[in-house]
Amino acid sequence: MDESAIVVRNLYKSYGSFEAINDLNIDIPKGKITGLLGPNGAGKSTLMRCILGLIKPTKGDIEILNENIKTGIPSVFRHIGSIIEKPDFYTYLSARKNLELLAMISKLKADQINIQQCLDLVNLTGRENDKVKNYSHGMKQRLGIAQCLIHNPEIIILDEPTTGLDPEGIIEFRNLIIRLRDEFSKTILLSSHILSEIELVSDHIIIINKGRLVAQGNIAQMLNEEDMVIYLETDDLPRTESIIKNNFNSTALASEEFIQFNLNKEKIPNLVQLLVENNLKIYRLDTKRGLEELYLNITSTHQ
Amino acid sequence: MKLLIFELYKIFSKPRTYISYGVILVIIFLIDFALLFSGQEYIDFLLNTFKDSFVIEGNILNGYMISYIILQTLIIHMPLLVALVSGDLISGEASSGTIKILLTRPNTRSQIYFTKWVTGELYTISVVILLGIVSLVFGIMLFGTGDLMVLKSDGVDLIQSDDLLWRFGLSMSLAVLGLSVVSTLSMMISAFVENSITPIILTMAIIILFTIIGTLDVPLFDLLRPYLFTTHMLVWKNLFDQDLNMNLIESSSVVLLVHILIFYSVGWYYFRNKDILN
Amino acid sequence: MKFFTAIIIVCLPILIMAQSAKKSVHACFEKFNKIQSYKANVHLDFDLPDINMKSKDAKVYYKKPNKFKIKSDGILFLPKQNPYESFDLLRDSNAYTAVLVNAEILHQKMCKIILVVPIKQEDIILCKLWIDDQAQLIYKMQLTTKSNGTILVEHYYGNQTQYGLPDKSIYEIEINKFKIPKVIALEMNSKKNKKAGTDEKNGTIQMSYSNYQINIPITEI
Repeated sequence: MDESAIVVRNLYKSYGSFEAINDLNIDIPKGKITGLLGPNGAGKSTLMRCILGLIKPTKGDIEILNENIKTGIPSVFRHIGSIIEKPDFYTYLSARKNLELLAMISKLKADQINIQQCLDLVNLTGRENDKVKNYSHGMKQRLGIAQCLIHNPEIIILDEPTTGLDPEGIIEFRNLIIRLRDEFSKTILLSSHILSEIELVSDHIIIINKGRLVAQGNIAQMLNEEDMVIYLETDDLPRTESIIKNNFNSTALASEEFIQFNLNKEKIPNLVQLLVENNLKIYRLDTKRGLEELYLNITSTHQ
Repeated sequence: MKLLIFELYKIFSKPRTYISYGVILVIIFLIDFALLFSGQEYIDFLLNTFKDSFVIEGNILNGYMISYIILQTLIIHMPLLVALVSGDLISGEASSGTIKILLTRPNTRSQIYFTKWVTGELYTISVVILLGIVSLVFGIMLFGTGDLMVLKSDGVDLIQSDDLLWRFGLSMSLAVLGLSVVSTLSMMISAFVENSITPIILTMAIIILFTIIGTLDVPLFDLLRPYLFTTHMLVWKNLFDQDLNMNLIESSSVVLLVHILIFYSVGWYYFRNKDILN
Repeated sequence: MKFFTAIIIVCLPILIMAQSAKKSVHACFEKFNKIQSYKANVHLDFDLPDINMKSKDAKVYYKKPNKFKIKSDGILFLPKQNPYESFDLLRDSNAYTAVLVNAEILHQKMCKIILVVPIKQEDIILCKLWIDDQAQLIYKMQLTTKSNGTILVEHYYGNQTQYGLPDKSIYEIEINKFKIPKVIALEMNSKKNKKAGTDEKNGTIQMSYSNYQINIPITEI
């Protein structure tokens, strides 16, 4: 089992009779990217804010790097960088001044401050003296990351960090956080609505719904446990459908152009062999690892 | 200390901080120049009662008097200038989201609240000092020195020039104390809301309401009056009484300090336990 | 004849008294007239309703015929009348009529009370003097002028009796009640007890002179 950077135990947060977080128990492994998933209002932001001390939990414990935040605040924040919903800045100041001020209140020693390195990392060198109010959305997002990294934290918490970014910006951002994990061994907790993004970068996922934990674990293991989604196009779709039904006991959805059905990935070679033996011409065979399906499946069963 | 430098840097990077300084300087220069040209008429009008009985020898319209006139004219409006900055200390950060930056750094909320309060106090002090020093220096440059004639609704107090500087100094301190109540109040309101304009408006509304209660001759209000901070905010003027009523000055100072303590505690308690949701 | 005799009997004492009163006034004036100029220190104590001020030290300057000035570093409330204004009238004994009206013991001295009335139309309407004939000193003076109303001044003498200069003078002044709107005085929140009383009150200014320097050149006025 991986060592945990963040441990949440029996966490509750209620607003009157509304339970935003309800008996939540999660573990966020060290040095990994953890994707936090859940529908709107599931409690993702509330959970992240609880971890960051922005919201006081009604009940329960949060440990960050083995330090309980009830007693550890504020020293524990030496180890955390975050962007919640959107990066926030003093927009009337320059990017460099924002970072300098932030370093100032982060209780860092002089040799721990490397503003230029942060600016280089997020490609803002050359524009660092511009006022932030003149920055584009993408630049602000990158500066937000620089802000997260200024005190060289072990843990980075990012709530919907790609909101509003253009496709290039999203790719750039994705590469950056992968780099942070691979080169700097950062622990990253990431929430996003874009499941494909989470799927592409995450090692671990946590799914919550209505404030409760629905699933958590290694993403590869979770997806392997489930059937793959197969999209199949042949020259004779009705016969293909019948073969699938008889041999794999799987219900296929047929359209005029292709058949869609679930199949364990170990059985794909058998399927291909059967189709060839039945002289069917295969025009297309697509598989999908299926986080989306997994997510929808899990959240719908926990409605 | 670094947190304080951080807060000071921020407020002195905002244009709104300089509005107060600008307004103060403009008003000082306007009053000075207006009195330079028509001050004698103003004094003659005020001292009309004495014209049949006395010749008043000496430089009545001197720098000290000008400074005193400016002080009592401007200090009424100072709460607005103070609230403009103090009311923004927390709510401004809440509305822009930067409060999250502050609260996710290794500083306790109590440290953050205290530092912001100190920043508000330093700003208040700077405004009063600017007002006092510029009005005195500029007044003395234009009008010279002399005894201070304090015109009250029912009489005149004449304070000798060698007895004045310490009075100006102490009255400034008392003015700071009065304005600190306003600053602490607007910061307390600022902890409760998420926008900068509400604390400013609410602070001014409270001051106006209390001033009206303090002014009206209604028996019920007579009971309330001693407990309203607005009643004691002008205690600095008592330093310009020929015979100092130290009991009044002390009791008013205590009332103002108690208000500061109450407003600070309420704001701090709420801020310490506040959920940051935006 | 009886009629004329009666008139003479009635008027003669009056004429003699008038001459005597004028003589007393003139003697006092002549005594003072020996002074070309003087300078002295003066300590002023104020007891004025509605005016709260501490005692002040100043310098007083006089130059013949009636130039008079009190100089101080600060602000002074001074009687509106120049105390030597009456001397303009007394200089020419043909310009006024003096009438002895009474006598009174003042400062343990028997003083004649003499009314001085200008013959021509002047700013001075009436001057009432309390004169010690023996010492030729004016102990009290009530001066009524058109422009500045009435002032009462009482003199106390010491070392400078040969010049008729007092050691102390107490001016009694009528003062109207001082009032300005609270808004102008910015006393919105103050709830002072209203002082009862009439609109006119009397106050005094006491001037104590010392270190007289007589007949020296004065450049200050």
